[in-house]
Amino acid sequence: MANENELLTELTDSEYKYGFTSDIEQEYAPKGLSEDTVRFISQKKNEPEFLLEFRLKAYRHWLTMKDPQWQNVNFPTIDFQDIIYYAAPKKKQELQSLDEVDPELLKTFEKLGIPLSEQKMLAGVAVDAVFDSVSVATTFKDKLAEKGIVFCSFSEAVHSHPELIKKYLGSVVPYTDNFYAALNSAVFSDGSFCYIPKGVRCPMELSTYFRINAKNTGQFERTLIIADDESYVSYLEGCTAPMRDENQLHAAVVELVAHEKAEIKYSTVQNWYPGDKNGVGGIYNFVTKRGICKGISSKISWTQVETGSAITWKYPSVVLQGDNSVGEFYSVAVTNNFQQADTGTKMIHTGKNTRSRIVSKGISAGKSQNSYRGLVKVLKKAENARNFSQCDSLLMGDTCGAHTFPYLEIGNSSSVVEHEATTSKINEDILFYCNQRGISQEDAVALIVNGYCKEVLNQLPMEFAVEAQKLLAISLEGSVG
Amino acid sequence: MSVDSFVQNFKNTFETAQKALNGSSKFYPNVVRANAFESFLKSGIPTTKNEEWKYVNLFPFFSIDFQFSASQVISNEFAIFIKDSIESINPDVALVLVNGKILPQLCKNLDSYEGKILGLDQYYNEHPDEFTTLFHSLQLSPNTIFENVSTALSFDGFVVQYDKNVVTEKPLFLLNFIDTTNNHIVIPTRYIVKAEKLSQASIIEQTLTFGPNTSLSIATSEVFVDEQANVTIVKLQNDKKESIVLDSMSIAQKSSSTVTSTTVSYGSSLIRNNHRAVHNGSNVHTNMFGLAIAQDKQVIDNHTEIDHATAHCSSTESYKHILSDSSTVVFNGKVYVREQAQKTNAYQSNKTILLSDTATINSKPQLEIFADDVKCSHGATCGGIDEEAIFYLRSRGISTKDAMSMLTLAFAEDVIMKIENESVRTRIEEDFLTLLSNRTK
Repeated sequence: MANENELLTELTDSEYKYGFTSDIEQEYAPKGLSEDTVRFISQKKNEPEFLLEFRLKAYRHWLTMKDPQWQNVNFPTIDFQDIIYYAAPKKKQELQSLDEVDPELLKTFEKLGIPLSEQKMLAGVAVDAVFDSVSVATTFKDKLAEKGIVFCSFSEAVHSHPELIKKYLGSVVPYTDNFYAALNSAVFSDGSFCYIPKGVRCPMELSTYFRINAKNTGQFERTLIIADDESYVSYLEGCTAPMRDENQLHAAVVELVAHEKAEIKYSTVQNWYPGDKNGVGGIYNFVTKRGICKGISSKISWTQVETGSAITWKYPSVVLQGDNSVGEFYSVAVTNNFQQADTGTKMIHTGKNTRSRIVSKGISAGKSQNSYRGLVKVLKKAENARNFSQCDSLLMGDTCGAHTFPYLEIGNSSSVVEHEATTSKINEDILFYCNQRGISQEDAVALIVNGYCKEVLNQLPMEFAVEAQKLLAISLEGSVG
Repeated sequence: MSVDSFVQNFKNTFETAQKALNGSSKFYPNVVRANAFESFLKSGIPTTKNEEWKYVNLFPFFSIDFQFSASQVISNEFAIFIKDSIESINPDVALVLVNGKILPQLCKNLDSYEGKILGLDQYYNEHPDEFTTLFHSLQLSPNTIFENVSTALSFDGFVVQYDKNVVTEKPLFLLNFIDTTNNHIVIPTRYIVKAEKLSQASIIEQTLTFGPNTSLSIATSEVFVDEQANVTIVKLQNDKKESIVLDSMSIAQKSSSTVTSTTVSYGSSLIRNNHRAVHNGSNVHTNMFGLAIAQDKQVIDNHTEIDHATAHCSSTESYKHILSDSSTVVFNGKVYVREQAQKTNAYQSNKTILLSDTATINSKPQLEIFADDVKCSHGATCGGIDEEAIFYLRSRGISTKDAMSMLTLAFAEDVIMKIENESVRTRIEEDFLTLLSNRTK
């Protein structure tokens, strides 16, 4: 017992590794939200008329909405007038090379280990680094441009490819979708845009690092990925945020569109500041992620490793519209201390012979609450749809909770839907077996947890898998059930 | 007519009854009734915005002009219906309710029965302290709105009491006859089962509607099972199509007790079951089994909840559904494991066969676990009949029709086999095959 307690103390005392802030001059929008704020953001970003209109429509709709109450997470009511909706590093003149980038900024990236500099380019990752809402430097652009791939910041895309933005923005997640999506549509700051033309296989993993830096700034990212016919793209999103005492809101929207025979693989490693061991501070991560398999035989796959944030509340979903399309969702959600997670997925089968697979692994420790909430909906016309869901929960300690809320709504007889869920703690026999062979309690737990999550971690691209494994180890150090 | 008229009729009925109380409104059971009445007025009829009623829109079902008062006279035809029905069920012991009231002259062998039947008010007069700990005491979950209706109008409610060490030999048949000859009618029924230490009992419940109009049975029961007692409850919901059933059952179990509830639903146009069990002691076991066979436009909604509040307990739940035509079945199985309920073993399974493309199943198994040293699992499947199994049987010279019946019956048998009473079991099997052959033609 003593040993367990020691380990628990050790764990709760471990400081957040990425907790630091950098001092860079920032430009702020006035605090609070009004039509003027929306206009201010739009004007700052020099946006075309249609986008401003989109924002205003969303804002007006948002005013008519109430914040949702059905979730299985608790937090004090958010005062939306107490948030700064826009913060950007002050514009300097156009940058010619990386040397001109603010050294402070580079240092921050260095600490995060983003391969931004020349040598690190060997890592083979093109990075569109988002630093508090504005894209600062982009690499590998030429290489991608050669293939006709557009990979740039959202605000850049607004100017270079307005027709694509106009066509696809809000086509998967309309601004009427939900409270936070409406909010995001009104005030989104920046994000990434990606377009893969017909028949192109993206030669590298695309990745973006989001960081929330300025105090009291809600970050409202907007990501839009379009894969045209027979194309393929693997997109990586990773997040770390510095330590803060006040809660910060992050309400992003991610939209994926896969056309005929296209495939999009979207991977996330989320490690935002989870709050300290007393549950003070931490990020509120309320994200709307949705993809649509528009064309026949298209495929969208979500993989997520969620270890951070005080509250994680998101359901990366797939609308399987094209016949024979495939949707996948692999998730590992780890909660510790006072973290709360309500995450899962929605698979909406509307096309014939569509298939989906859900693998969700929840791990709760400390005083945290971890929920899986998923919907599998098979419409009447979605003949021969197939779904398999598996959601397992692992409990460490007797003060945490694991919850499962699967919704299965099946409307025809030719479809087969299976769901299974288990909840248990780490098997003592297995621990004993490891101990017996000289593996310490902590290493044994790490080993077992890694094995437990392997199915999901295997889906991650190589460099992410390593990071995710490290994250798991850090998040669960010593929490022996 | 509308939902408002239902609420209005309910209000009038209750107020009339209230006036007839002659100043006994301070009488404890009446206080509880008055509170329940207020609670229902506050909540009203749930809409689909209520998460617990998300998949069932009650409003079309309540568009009928339901009356709360039944005629006191039993017509000849109705009497014959009752007599014939009892004869065909052929129970050893039967408690017969006619329009919600116990009719002693129709009851069978109750005098020699090991259990005692007492009116609610009578029970209160005899054991006031005990009564307050029982009646309407089980914390009702938010989805059990209609419990308040039957509690408020529980003037004819009763208690089935099994004293310490009483072991009953024969099951008690609880037969509720409803006469709808004159109008659409609401019959609230309310009863308590109290099984004391080491007792054993078995109850079989059935509602039978007579007449051309629609009956709405709002039944609420509380089952208290003391240490080492064993109670079996079978609910046979096979009433005719012109009926609606809203059934709530809350079970409270003490140490080392076992409760097995089996619900078989294939009648009525709408059936909603709220079955709930709370554990209070160690080594408690709860079994909940259910079978629903839905046809035409039937709606069958099974909500279950097992609340593991104490350590070293277990529960097994198995619900099977067979859907055809444009029927809808809803399943919501909640399993709570509280922080102190270590070493809990909870198992839930929910399987569905869809025989048509217009039927809909909405399944929501729900596990909420706050303790770590537990084993909890649930599984849910939906699909059509396995083509390969059909092929296997066809290749052995069995017709498609027979093969279908064979496979679906085998699927249902899992639940049917849990019923101990052979005559009930046989009847379900027979009805099942008739339903099936009507379908496959």
